[in-house]
Order: sequence, then C-alpha cells, then structure tokens
Amino acid sequence: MAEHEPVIGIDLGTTNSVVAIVQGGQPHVIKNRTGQTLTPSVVAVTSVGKRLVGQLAKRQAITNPENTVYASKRLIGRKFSSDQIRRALQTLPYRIVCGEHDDVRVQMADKAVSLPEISAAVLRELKLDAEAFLGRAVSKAVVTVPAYFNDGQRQATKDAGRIAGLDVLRILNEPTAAALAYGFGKQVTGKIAVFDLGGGTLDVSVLEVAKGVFDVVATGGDTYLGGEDFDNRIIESLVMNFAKEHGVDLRKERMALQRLKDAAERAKIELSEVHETNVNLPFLYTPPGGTSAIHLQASLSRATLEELTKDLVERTVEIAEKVLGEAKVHPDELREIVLVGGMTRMPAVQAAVRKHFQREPSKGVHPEEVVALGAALQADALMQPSSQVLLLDVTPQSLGVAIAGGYNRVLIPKNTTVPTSTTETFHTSRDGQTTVKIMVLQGESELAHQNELLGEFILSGLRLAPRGEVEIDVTFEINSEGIVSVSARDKETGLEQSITVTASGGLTAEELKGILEQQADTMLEARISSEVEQKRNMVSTAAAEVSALIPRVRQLTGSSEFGREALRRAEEVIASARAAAEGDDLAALSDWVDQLERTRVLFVGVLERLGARPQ
Amino acid sequence: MTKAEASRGGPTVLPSNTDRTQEDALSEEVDLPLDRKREILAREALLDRDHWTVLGLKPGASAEAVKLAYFEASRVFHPDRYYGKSLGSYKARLERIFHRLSDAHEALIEAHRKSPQPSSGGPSRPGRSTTGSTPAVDARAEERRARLARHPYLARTARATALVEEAQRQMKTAPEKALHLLEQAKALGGNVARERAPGLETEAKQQLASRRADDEMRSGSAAAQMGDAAAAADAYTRAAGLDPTRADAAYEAARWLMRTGRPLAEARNHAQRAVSLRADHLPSHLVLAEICLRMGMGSVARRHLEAVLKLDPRNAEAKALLRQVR
Repeated sequence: MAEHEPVIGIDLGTTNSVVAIVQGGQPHVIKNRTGQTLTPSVVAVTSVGKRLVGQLAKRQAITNPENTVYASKRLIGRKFSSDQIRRALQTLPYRIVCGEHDDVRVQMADKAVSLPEISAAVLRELKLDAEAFLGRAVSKAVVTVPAYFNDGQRQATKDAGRIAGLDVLRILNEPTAAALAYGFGKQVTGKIAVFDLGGGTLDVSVLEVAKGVFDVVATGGDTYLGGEDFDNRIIESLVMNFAKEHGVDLRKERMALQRLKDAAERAKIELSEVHETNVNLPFLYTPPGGTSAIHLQASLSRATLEELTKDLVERTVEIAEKVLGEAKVHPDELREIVLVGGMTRMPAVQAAVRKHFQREPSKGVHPEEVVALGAALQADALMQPSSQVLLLDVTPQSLGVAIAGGYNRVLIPKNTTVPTSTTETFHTSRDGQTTVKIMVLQGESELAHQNELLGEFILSGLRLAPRGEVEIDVTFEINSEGIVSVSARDKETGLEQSITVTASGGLTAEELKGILEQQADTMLEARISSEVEQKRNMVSTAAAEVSALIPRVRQLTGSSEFGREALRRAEEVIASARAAAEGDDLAALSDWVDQLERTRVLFVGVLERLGARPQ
Repeated sequence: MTKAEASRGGPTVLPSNTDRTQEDALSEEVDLPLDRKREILAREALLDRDHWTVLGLKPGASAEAVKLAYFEASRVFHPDRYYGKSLGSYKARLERIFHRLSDAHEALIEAHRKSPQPSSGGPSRPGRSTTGSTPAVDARAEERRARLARHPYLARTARATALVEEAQRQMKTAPEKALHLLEQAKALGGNVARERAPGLETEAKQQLASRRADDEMRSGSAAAQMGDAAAAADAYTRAAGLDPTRADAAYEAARWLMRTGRPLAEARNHAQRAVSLRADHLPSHLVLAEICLRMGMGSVARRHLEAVLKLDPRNAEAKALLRQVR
C-alpha cells in the first residue's frame, strides 16, 4: 500500500543537506542522529579506510584534506573536460581524476569514486536518519536539485538515489520546493519570486500561486554562483596577503588550504552578524628545514568582504532580473520576494535584492530548511490524492535538435509547463540523403555544439530525392515524470525511429563539436565551393576588364613614370589574380577581386581625365 | 461550473465516430472511478475547440477567471494527481489534456497582457474553430509571432530579413554592398531571404551592370576622342553587353564597330537594337542604314532612311545615303 509508506523530501545541498517529511498534514525537518537539522554534505575516508559522512567527516577535514570531499554537488553530472571542472581543480584540496567517459571521479585513498557514489553516501545517511526518526524503513524520496541542473546532472542525482537504496519519485527544482514550503498553508495568491542563493548555486524562480496550485512561470540561475565563491574570494585575499608577508604560496598546501576554507566560511558567516572579525590560524605553515611555523592572523571587516564579493552580488541580481524578464513579470507585480539559502543571510545580498526590486524581501522561512520542507510537501502531494498541493513545473532549459549548418533548433523552449509535446517538420539537407541523424540537444545556445547532447539516433531508409523533398516530422515529448522522448517519422513512408532520453550521451563538448563539424564539413564544403566558383568568375571578369583597359592607358600615360609604374602594377595584379583563380582560397579570391576593381576604377578615372582634356 | 458542465454535457456531445473508442476507454481497467473517466473523455473531446471552451469558459472571460479555470482544471487533469496509479490509455489522455490546457491558459493570459480590456461586445461568438477575430485572438497571433521571433532559428530568419531590407535600401547607391548583404541573408536562410533575395539579387546585378556600363561608356568616349576606333568599339560593345537596355551604348557600339573594319554583322545587331530601343533617334537609323548599305542590303537601308526623312525631311545625310542606295 503505497499510501502508507513514508516518503521523504531531501534537499541535497552543496554544503549542507536536509531531510524532511509530512506528518499529519504538516511538513517537519527530521533532525539527524547528532541532533542537528543540517547534515554537512561531506564524505571522507579515514586513514584506516573507514567512510565518514556529515558532521563527522567535516570535523576531521582539516587533518585529512585529501580524502575529504565537500561541495561534490558542483561536480556531479559534469564532464571532466568542462571549464567548470578545470576551475574547480585549482581550489579543491581533494584530487579529481578523469573517469572512463570523461566523467569526474574523486580519488579517495586508493579508489576513484564516482560523484553519484559520493552523493549516495550523503543520501544514505539522511535515509538512515529518517528511518531512525520514523522507526521504519524508508525507500522513497523526492530529491531537489538546482533549477538550472541539466538532464545529465539530474540523471546523476537520480543515480545517487538509486545507489543509496532510494526510489527517487521526482527530481524537484529547489526554488520551486522553496516556494511550495513558503506558500503552504498561507492563503497566498499572486506572483512570488524565490531568490535562492545557496552554497554552490543561485536559482531564481517566479511562480504564480492560487488555492494550493503552484504554477512555475519561469526559472533560471547559475550553477556556479554560491557561497563557495564568496569563501574563495576570502581565501584568495588571505593567501595573497600571506604571500606578500611571508613569501609563501599557501595554495600548494592542501592542509593549509582546508583550514583556510573553514576559516573563510566561518568569517563570512560571522560578518553577517558583526562588522569585524578575526581569522586566527596558528601554525598554518611549517617551512621545510625545521624553522619555526608561521601563523596566520588577520582581521576582516564586513566592508572588505563586500568589496571582495561586489561583482558576485551584482551577478545575483542581474540573473534575478533576467528571470523576471523571461517571466514577463514586472517587479511591481510581485507579491513577495522569498529569500532562500544560507547566503541570503549576507546583508549585502539582502540590500542588493531590496534595492533592485524596491521592496523588503520576505524572510519568514528558515532559509536552510525550506527546500527540504518543499520536497516533503511534493512527496506528500504525489502520494496523497487528497492533497491540496499541486505543482505545475516547467522545463528549466530548452530542448532542440541539431540542424544543418551546426545550429540548434529549439522545439521546446525553456519555461514550458510540463508535461508537453511538440512536432515540427524538417527536410533533408542534401540531395539523395537517405538517412537523417537526430541529435537531441539541451541548452540555450544557437550553436549546436555549445549545448548538451542528450542523445542521438538515426532515421534511415529515406526516399532518394533532391534536398528538401523528403519531409521528416520530429516529435519531442516531456511526460509528467520529466522524461524526454524524441521520435522522428518519415511523413511519406511512415517510417519511424525514437529514443527515450535516459542518460547523458557521455560525450564531451569537444567530441560533440567534432561530430558536428564532420557533418558541417559536407555542408560547409558545398557552400564554399559554390562561393569559390562565384569568386573565380568575378576574378576572371574583373581581370579581363582591366586587361582591356591597359592598351588605352598605356597609350595615354605610358610615357610618364607614374603611368609605367601603374601599368606594371596592374599587370602584376592581373597575373596574380589569375593565378589565385586556379586555387580555392576564398579570402584571397575576394582580395583579388577588390584589387582588380580598384585598378579598374583607377584606369577608368585616368582615361576619363585624359580623354576629357582635348575637348 | 466547468467540471459540472463538462461531465453533464460530455458524453452526449461526442461525435458519433468516436463512440466506439469512447466505449472501449470507459471499460478499460484502470485505477479511476467511472465518473472521472467520463470527465477525462469529455474534456478530451473538446481539445480541438477554442481556448475558452477548452478551459470551460465563456469567451471574453477575465484573466482572473482564465487563471482560476486553468488551476481548477489542472487539479483534475494534471497527471501528478494520479501519481502511482495504473492509468492505461488515460495517462496519455491526461497529458494531452493538460498540455492543451496550459497552451490555452498561456495564450489567453498573453492576450490579456497585450490588451487588458476583455473583449466586450463585438461578434465574439464562440465558433468551433479557434480563428475568431476577437481582439484576444489577434493579440494571441501577435504574441505567437513575437514568440516565434525569439525562436533561435527565427532569430536568424529575422536577421536575414533585416539584411534583405538593408540590401534593398543600398540597391541604388551601392549595388555591390547590396549583393554582399543578400549573399549573407541567403546563408542565414529563412523564407524572406529565400523568396526575396533572388529577385533583389537580379536587380542589384542589373544596377551593378548599368554602373559598369556607365564606366565603359566613359572609356569608350575617351577612346573615341583619342580617335582609337577599335578601343572605342570594344568599350561600347562591352557597355551594350552589360546593359542591353541602353540605346546610346548600342548606337555607339554600332557606330564605332562600323569604323573598325571588322565584320559588319555585329555592328548591325547593335544598330538594330539601338533603333528598336529609340525609334525616334535619327542617328541610330542613319547608322543602321549605312551598315545595311555597306552589307548590300539596300532595301532595308532605304526603309530606315525613309523613316529618317519622314521625321526630318531635310536631313542631308539621309538624302546623301538614299542617293547611294539608288
């Protein structure tokens, strides 16, 4: 009996995770076995090979930096070759290695652990906490992710749930969850914006709420903008001052870096309450050769922190504005702006939101718990037919297909309410083309290769026909579970192929670009050759025209120094241009056309002037 | 009201040809009460109707009413309301209904956003088709266009269109630039570029040719003044070739070709064209006559000379040539 089985809601955060459940119609946060509501999203392996999760793992991080993994959410579902990972490599004290399919793995002791496994360790911990609280087994959960997570990242999070022994009923967007929790039980009606600045990500969503229905209008954000970035700014500043003072680069010291990270986060949190704080890290660095250890002692003011992170704060409001624009909602129309996520405790962030939206943001919710509460509410809504809550969610990113020329043709634009489906007719792009490759893309870029490849398949056996004659219907469908399926159908023969997108293609951006370029090659070649042909003709016409002018010019100006020089140059240009017309360098051909044209104009002008004189 | 109406009216308004599938669907074994099945089938039967009907509303309802109707209907038809239930064919039906509901909701809200006044009065009868001409529908069409314009593919099309328009503006002053713009527009694709570019391209090429012809005319006249008949003939011939509609080019080409001692056939072609382009241009007639005379085509020459004399009875040259014919 599914109705009676408890279903938990989990906020799997970058720095902290929270688990919650609905009991008696009310959502509650479940405290972990150490009595805390927040469980640090930290996983470690000790020197004796013991796996630690949460507070225990976080506590020993300083002494075991290389085998303590935090902020893994920023890595999950990403490609090892991506820019984000490259950036992360520089600041993380633990070792990241490349998996078989360009996936990211973390080297813990002697094992390369996949990211879903690390997230699974945290999820399992939360599951155990929930089971301890409820006194019974738990096997179903709703897990939240940042709205801007792509399909690969969502799939990886689902995988993590499976590894942890949890059936993930639904992946829910964090700001949506926050709005659910915020709006639950209140008779809120109208549009609200949720500004969720967490440890790793910024999410902004605009929702319309009425009578328990939560209609997401638009959602957006940045998966690489959060508390971690603020911490890093503090670390950078401390490291730089330390280098200035002692000539030591602490970035190479894993243990020092871990202590700095802790201290930076603490200082940042303190500065939300006070205006000045101290960072004291005794014995931070022991120089080789037995000289005495160096301590780090620094004071940090709120003003300095705000200066260091000014651009980050500005970016958060810019993104919020963009999402509001996409939702076509004017700030005046908003009933509330709900601040979610630990970082929204920072006074500068609140001030920026207040200034930009000209209103006091609502802080009636516990920013760290609200997402988990929302997840629990959605879990309950799915399981209880009598639930008042109904969530109308959207696709956070556009879905499209790669088309000839390497472009992305969007079929389902972002912020479309799901479930949804759409069909569009395409044509073959080449004469005699008997197969089409359907590449399913996720993202907003016009250029196909700058999007995520969700999957691909081939529809073959098309009728042999000139380009554009064979029509193919491509249908995209997103069902209520958020599963994407794509089919392609030859309109004439009814021939059909389809895929259900279940996992990311495992291709790197480079590989994807390569594949697209291979296809583009034939396209581009076709276009270049016709262009070359055209330019060659232009060169030969222009050369003939100039040649035709030469005898007259010679007759009129051949006796002057200038004339001889001009004629010599003209003949050179003609010869070189004709030589270039044998080749297919488009740029060179254009260049020669220009030069010939200039020569022609010059000669015509000369003839005109000299010809006009005798009269 | 919407629910009640739909379920009451539902089964009876179904077109008869779907009765069979409806019957099958009603007897399908799924986790849904019969009433709910009926409700779902009834709403499904309305999906081809206009946005208002789909939402169970009267045309012209306020944005508030649209929103509420959408939310109410979502409570019934959103697949999440039946999570974990065995739904059989109803799963797809629910998804289809909900998709249509959210489309209708979006379109109507958008229409209200564009023209906040609900369509009052006017012939806003709810037809079976959605192509009524209420302001809301027009606004909807406008919104659809606006949305389409934001579409990445169509953004390119829009750029192509802008290029085509720019090319048209540049046509007279800078045909080369216009040609270049058209090339770019064609590379971007889109209907406008496909349909308009070729015509404009021809026009630009003509412009370009006529400019070149101007140049050739100038160099022809320069050569003529230098007394270089061959060069003048070449230049004028090229001018006439570049712009076949130019009577003066044809005339000059004929005139100078005649003096080069080259075969007269080409000269005659040009002269013939000059005459047909400008029937009242006496010198053209005279040149043609002279060429014909030299080619031994006396009667043709005479006809043209007589035409000249008809226009200008005292033309001495024509009289002299006419004497030669005789």
